[in-house]
Amino acid sequence: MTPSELAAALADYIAIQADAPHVQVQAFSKLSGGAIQDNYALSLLFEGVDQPGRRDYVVRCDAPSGVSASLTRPQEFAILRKAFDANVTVPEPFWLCDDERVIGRSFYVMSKAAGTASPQQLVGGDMPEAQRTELTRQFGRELGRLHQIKPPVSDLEFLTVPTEPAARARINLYRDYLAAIDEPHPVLEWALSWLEDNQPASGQPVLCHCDFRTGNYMVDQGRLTAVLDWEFATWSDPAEDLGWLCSRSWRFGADERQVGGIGHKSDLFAGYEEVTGETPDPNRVAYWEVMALVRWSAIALQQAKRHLSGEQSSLELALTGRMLPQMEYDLLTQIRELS
Amino acid sequence: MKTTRPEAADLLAIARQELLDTLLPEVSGALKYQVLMTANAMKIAGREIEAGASTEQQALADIQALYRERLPEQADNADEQSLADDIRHRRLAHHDPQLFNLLLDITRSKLQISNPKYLNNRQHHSGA
Repeated sequence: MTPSELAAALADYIAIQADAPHVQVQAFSKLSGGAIQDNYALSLLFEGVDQPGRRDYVVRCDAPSGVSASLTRPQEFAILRKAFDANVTVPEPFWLCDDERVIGRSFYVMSKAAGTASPQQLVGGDMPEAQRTELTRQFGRELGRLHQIKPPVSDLEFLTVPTEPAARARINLYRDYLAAIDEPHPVLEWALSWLEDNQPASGQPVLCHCDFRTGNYMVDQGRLTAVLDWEFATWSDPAEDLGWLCSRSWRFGADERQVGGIGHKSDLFAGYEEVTGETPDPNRVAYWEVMALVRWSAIALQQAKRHLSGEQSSLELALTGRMLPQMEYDLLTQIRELS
Repeated sequence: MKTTRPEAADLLAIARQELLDTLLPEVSGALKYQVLMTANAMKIAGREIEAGASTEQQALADIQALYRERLPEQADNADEQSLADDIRHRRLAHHDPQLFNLLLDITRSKLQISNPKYLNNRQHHSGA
């Protein structure tokens, strides 16, 4: 399909779903980001309906070469629905199309959030201090709302309810990743031993986003307008989401602002408490920050492997592999501080 | 056979200089980022040509020194791979400060090649 054929097919589909006699494509473009999915911005002009005018959508579908261990589009759509119903600020999910005859792959349509997700603009920009504080509190409230969702939940049966503690499961998973890479990483092994010896008491699993970090949410005029990229969501320890957001890897140069390069943990925790009535345990979050560094290391190694194996020759993937010593250095210093 | 001069490191350095001095000012937007990424890769490769072999040798000597004290029978065959395996299988004690120092030294030397600026910033801030 050419881009204009794709846009026309999507417009026809949306017209039927929205019961509109006529829609016209005003703009269609591929959005950046996402190796596993293709995201498109689609603007349509609605005519002959109660509220005529322009409507902006995002269409998310599997990339043509869609190999992945993460969620399928229908699963992601189901999770987005649950998050939306739980008042988490997400794009409004409208329609899921599982019929591959429409565009050749499954996709779903959601509202387009205003603002930017660019870490450079958000971290490096001139956002006033009061806005940063409020935005950081909002992160806490969003995660707090999401974490109210606990298994079992109808329509989310495809998410396996874990039988072992989340930390244990992650340690096993990352050890398997490392074993599959033919290059020694003694620092990562050492960090995994520490994680094994310092596992927090396990609690009830909750719905976690598992990739909530700067770069994966939209902000418009200091307000979070959408939490994006739900393909890794699963039942886990709530502190995993908090630790991932606070990880040193996602501060984009603003190291003193521990929460995604935007704000401070006290505000994140205050926002979380506002919604859940519970203050996160700082030690537990610090533990999951270490886990986050190991996870990012494992991802970086896999990205480098994609380049090295010839599967996807790429300078960016190659350089990601050379970032490993940074994560390893951070692991050593962070664990020393906690010991 | 002696390679014809200039050698690999010289060639990389001058090619990178050319890229930054003449190509970079002519490009804009996303292409600028591609050029900077390319220059960065060339810089890393250059540092590795200069210091890679000696760094690796030093790391190996340090690893074997630790093994002579902790697992003397394996000392002669010890390398980074055995270090990783022996940490995973707990044949080397996690709390051993000498092990920690070895890991920190190895990591610092890797950073000296892949991102010395990061190392300097972090050491400056944490006093590590």
